[in-house]
Amino acid sequence: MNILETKGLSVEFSGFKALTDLDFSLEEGELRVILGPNGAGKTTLMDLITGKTAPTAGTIHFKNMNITGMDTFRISRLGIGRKFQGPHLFDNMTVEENLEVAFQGYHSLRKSLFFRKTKELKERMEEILTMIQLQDKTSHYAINLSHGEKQWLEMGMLLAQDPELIILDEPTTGMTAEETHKTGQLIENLFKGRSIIVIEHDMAFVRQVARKVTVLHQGKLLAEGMLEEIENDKRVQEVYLKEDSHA
Amino acid sequence: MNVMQQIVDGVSVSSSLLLVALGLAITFGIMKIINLAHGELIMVGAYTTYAVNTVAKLPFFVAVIAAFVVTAIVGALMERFVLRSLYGRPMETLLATFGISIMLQQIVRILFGATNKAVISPISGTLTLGNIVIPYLRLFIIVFSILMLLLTAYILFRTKFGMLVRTVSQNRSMSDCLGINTSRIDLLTFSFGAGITGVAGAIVATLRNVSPTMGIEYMIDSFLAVVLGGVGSLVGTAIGSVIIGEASQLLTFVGGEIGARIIIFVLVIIVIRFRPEGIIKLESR
Amino acid sequence: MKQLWKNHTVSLLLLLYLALTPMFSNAFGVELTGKFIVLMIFAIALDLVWGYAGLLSLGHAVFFGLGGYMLALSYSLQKGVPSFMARFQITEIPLFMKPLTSIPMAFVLGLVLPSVIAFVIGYFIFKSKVSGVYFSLITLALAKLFEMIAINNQAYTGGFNGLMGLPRFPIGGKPMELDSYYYLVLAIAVVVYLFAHWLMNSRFGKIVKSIRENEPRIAFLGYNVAHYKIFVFVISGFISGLAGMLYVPMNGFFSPNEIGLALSTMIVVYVAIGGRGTIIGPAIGAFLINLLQNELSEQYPAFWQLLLGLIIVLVVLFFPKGIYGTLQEKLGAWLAQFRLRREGK
Repeated sequence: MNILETKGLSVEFSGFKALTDLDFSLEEGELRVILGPNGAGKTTLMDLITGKTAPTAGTIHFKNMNITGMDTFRISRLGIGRKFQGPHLFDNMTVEENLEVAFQGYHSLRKSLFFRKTKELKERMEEILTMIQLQDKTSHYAINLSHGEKQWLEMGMLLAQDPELIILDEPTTGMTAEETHKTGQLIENLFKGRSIIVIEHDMAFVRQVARKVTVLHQGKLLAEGMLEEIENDKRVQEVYLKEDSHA
Repeated sequence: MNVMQQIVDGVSVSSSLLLVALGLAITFGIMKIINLAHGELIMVGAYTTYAVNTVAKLPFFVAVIAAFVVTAIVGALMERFVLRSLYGRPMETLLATFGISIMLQQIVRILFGATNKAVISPISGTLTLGNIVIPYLRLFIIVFSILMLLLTAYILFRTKFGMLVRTVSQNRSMSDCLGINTSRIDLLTFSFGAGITGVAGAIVATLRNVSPTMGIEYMIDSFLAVVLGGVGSLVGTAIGSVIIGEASQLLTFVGGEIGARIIIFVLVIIVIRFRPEGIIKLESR
Repeated sequence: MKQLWKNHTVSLLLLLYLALTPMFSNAFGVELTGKFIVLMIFAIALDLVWGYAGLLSLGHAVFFGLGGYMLALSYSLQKGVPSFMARFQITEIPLFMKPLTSIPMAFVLGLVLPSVIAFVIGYFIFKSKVSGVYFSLITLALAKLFEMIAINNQAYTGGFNGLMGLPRFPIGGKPMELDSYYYLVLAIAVVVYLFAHWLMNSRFGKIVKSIRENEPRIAFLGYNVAHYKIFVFVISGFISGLAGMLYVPMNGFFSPNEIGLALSTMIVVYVAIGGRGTIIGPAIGAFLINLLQNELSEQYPAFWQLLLGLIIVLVVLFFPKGIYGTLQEKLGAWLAQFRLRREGK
């Protein structure tokens, strides 16, 4: 079943058509990579899905629920998690605090006031901290971590959040080839069974993780299919891949 | 119930508000600096006028020029020594300018004493049209405020300086890359905004008592006018001033001063809520 | 436990000093220090909203003033129609003020009214996603508005001169000694301090801090940011109202000064200079500035204000974390160095 579906999705900003009539769907458990030159509308599409921006036309359905125009926090609660391009952390809070607030299920005022860490929660936190290799830095302020550590902390927060649909917006920005490869492995292992959308430019990474690929161009769907097909598609080559693999 | 009189009085109030808000349109609207000492800049202009016109007995227009120069210098000092280190940090800017406002009030108290001073209006007499009475001074202010608006618009949109100001405010890093001395432009822009505010202070000095705390009221209203009309737009500031000026005049007549304030207050909140960019929206992605 | 001791050393020292004050001060000194303590409570209230949630309220005295006026008016009505009303030919206590004739009722109103106003304002502002500068501007305009209301309704509020001759220290009608009242206020301050710490160390507090740090991010984690902001704002309003009421018997006098711009901006100064987001920092800021002001403003009034303005600018430029915040940081760094050196040996 399709966990995510958009129909005729369009959004316009003061006359500029950022997205036009986009039909996009994602199967449950699928990992999709979205490609496209800058300005193609990839991040805009994510903004619409997560409720950051409201569309001017079209609908978005998540798990068969109409989430078009819903508030971000409500959509997040339904099970969509997003990781932004740069590290997007709570700088003046500790690693532990950053991780803790990511756990779902304690959103109401009452629950958060009288929250006590259960044994399971503590164990899960230990687990995640070990996975992201920050178990010795729990009281460090997020702002003091290295760039790579920050990215990993964000991954950890995603793990804690445990959403059904994960959106990764250029997760390997600023990473070395080794870190990039590790991230690919992480996505494969940790987010097994989850539905994932990845926006990326780094073709090496794309080749590592991708199966089906969607290509956007100027706010419209350009091509969609398996990676090999897309790489050989004339239109895509013309618009995007003809330049370097780091377009 | 002379509605026409109220409307005309409203225009007069709007014009004073426009004058004091113009400088803010530049420092807050364009430079995005939250200057809580804006009221004190008005006050500095007023006291300069007092010193030059009433004490030194020089002609009024000399006082106006002096007000511009003195306040611009104060602005330059503020920018150079305080604001420059705080760009991009609105809360810190707010606090620092608050500290400066206290200092300016005190300096003025030390120099001139705490009692109210008066600046005698250079124009006297009233014009009577039917059952509407307008003092010539107010007419002068209305005309003057429009002229200042046009002058400011001219400087911003038809001079090289204005273009540089707009370039820097819209894209600082690009400006740096183009070889524009952005620090110098910042200094000049802020000083310019301060200078205009000083001129406003000179004019306002003829309307009311000159005191160390005279600027606070104007500051709040100026911010409201800029926010309501559209941050970053001169026309917006003008519209905001007219709305607030007219509304406060008419509503005071109908519902008392406090009622007027409350309604304007609610109006501003509604606008912020549904159209946070203000009435005149500047296009941006 | 060791952590607890370390975190609260300064607070404990301050508490000790304040607890001993009645023993080495005369009545005037005790009263003065009592006022300081009330302002410290108020500063903590603002710290919750500004230091932790990142919402700079420039009109917080509105809540302080509402609470204070409830109690002050109540005291004024105890002996029938007060002189400021009689002057306006009012011969009977107006209906809407009748509840204030009962001091316990006034006390409750002094807590409820600020909280309700905070809720209403918070609801409209935060649900509309108004934040940052606009929020501050609105609170500024609000303080001005309430100040005007207090001044212009002389018949009901005593106007510009305020309410004077208020009885010292009757709580619920029974008279109280200065020292006893002082310790009551101090006890309440301790309770507020502990409550603030509990609140901000809870998960709730972490979410509030997250809002300050990165509001969009916490929304993406599913939290209804508006609700959290409103809640913090209401709690802060409540504590501020409480402080306002505690101020009345200490001061014997309550005026539009206590509800308007002047106090609103001073409380911001206390928090900024003390160190926001630390709870004890703002309290220290309130204490020190008032102490300094008391020492200096009599002898050198003009100089004091100038100095205050200068201190604010210098703190913003060079000590953004405030006195306590900077101290904490430096001390922490020094301790870390010390430990490293010890381990190195």
